[in-house]
Amino acid sequence: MQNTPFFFGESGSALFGIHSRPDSAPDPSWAVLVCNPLGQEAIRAHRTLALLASRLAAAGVHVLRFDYLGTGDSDGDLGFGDPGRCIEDIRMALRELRDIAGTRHTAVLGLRFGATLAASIPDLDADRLILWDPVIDGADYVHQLTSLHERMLHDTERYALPRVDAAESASHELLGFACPGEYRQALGEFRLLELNALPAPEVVLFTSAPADHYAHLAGHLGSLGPGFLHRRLPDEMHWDSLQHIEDALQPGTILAEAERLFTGR
Amino acid sequence: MGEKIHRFGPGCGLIGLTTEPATRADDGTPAVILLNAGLVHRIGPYRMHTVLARRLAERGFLAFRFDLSGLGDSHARTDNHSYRERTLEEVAAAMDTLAQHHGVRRFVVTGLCSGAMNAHGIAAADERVAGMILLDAYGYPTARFLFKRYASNAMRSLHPRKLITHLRSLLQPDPARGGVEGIDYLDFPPRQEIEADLSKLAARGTRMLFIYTGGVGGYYNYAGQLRDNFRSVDFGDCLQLDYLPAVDHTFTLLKDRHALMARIEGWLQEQFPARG
Repeated sequence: MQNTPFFFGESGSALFGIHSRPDSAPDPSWAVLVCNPLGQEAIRAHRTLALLASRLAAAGVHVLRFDYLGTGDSDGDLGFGDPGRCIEDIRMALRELRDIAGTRHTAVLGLRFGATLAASIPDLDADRLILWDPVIDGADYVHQLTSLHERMLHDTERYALPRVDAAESASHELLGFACPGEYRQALGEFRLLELNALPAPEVVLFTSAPADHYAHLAGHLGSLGPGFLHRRLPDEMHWDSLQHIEDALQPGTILAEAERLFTGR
Repeated sequence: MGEKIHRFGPGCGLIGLTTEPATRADDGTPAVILLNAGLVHRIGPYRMHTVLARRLAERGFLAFRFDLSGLGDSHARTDNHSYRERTLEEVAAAMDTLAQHHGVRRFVVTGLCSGAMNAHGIAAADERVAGMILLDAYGYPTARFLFKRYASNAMRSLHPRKLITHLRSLLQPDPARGGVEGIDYLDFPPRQEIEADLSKLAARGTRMLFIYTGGVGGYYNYAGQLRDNFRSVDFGDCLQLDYLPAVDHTFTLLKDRHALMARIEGWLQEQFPARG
């Protein structure tokens, strides 16, 4: 397995990507594009997604991870991330992956809002879409992060004294990242329960504990066609916990589950 | 300004990025190396390293952010070297890479938390390091630290039994912990070891910027504590020391982060002015 970091796209708005290439499979049939979460969740998930890419590549699958414009190592500075631009970036990264991998099948795997973005692209043109702990409703998500940010300002585990001087930050920052009003509004427009067709022939929903959070979404996606599969993971990811906002995500069972999806093993 | 990817180190398993100024004079200006903060990958807490690297490049400094082995996108190593040995070797490999590809001969190493400890280690070990910026590095209790801490605790809990417990722990440190109960010592090296390193670094003229936040109030709680920790060290004009009690350990708020980056930029320009 080889990891090749590279930039792609236009100079000045180039995206950083890492291609994990299998070295043992003579004829890899699958290539997977990984769509990051946004904001601090992307930092929490980085190493686990790197391990996931290595695991899949070792099992004979091409994987491309990348940073949306203005995030990670990509050009620009867009703070939390511009959802509209992220969708353009997913399309571009998918084309890039097809060019470099040349496989028969393509899959997109998104985590948190990365899953939400991928699922919201009507002409995604992927054979399989894997949604891992997707954000179901963008407006609820913004509300939840804003609430976490406000609580963080009064968290005595973090600050010796409450940051009353920064109370206004909750209107334009979300847990360490700039998120102005236009981004919040754009994020709020994503609602997976309003999907009226499965975004790919095969859609797999991986959900961490607690299991009941995703029952409604699973029911909705299941009603859209026969290509839907729901896999519950026993792991707790603590997406909405103030105490865990800086904790690296533990891979848990997703590595083995994702590998099984592509190899049948 | 442009960014370039480097694969280097043992088995080329380490991944890093240089951010180059549009024009860089060959005048001995040091490159700035940004070390991993804890488990956070090379972009730094809340992407601070990416943003800082680009701001520094705009001011003429070559910056390099990379992942130590086992972090971010760098491979984990399977040899039996200790963490300290691996870290020193890998940061030295980063310096070699920058020397080879960019002709840099001097370096400023910077890090937060474990990154600060690593920056100290490489500065002490490698004479190519001309400066270090340590955020929430080591700290050791002083009488003033203990008074402030226990006065504060006592005010919060005036129960006589708690007071007695506090006083006992103050007078009889727990030998197993090597310190006083309830104080966050982390795994700092013995104070004398750090003191010897700092004496060596100051004698070498290494420029030092230490910044402590309120996030490490468990072991550092007043301005100037570091100087009290190392009274025997003649820092001369090598040391600048800041204390930011209102700020958290990872500079989560944008305004805190921007103030930090401005401070770092200003310090670098003051300590390493462009020549000619």
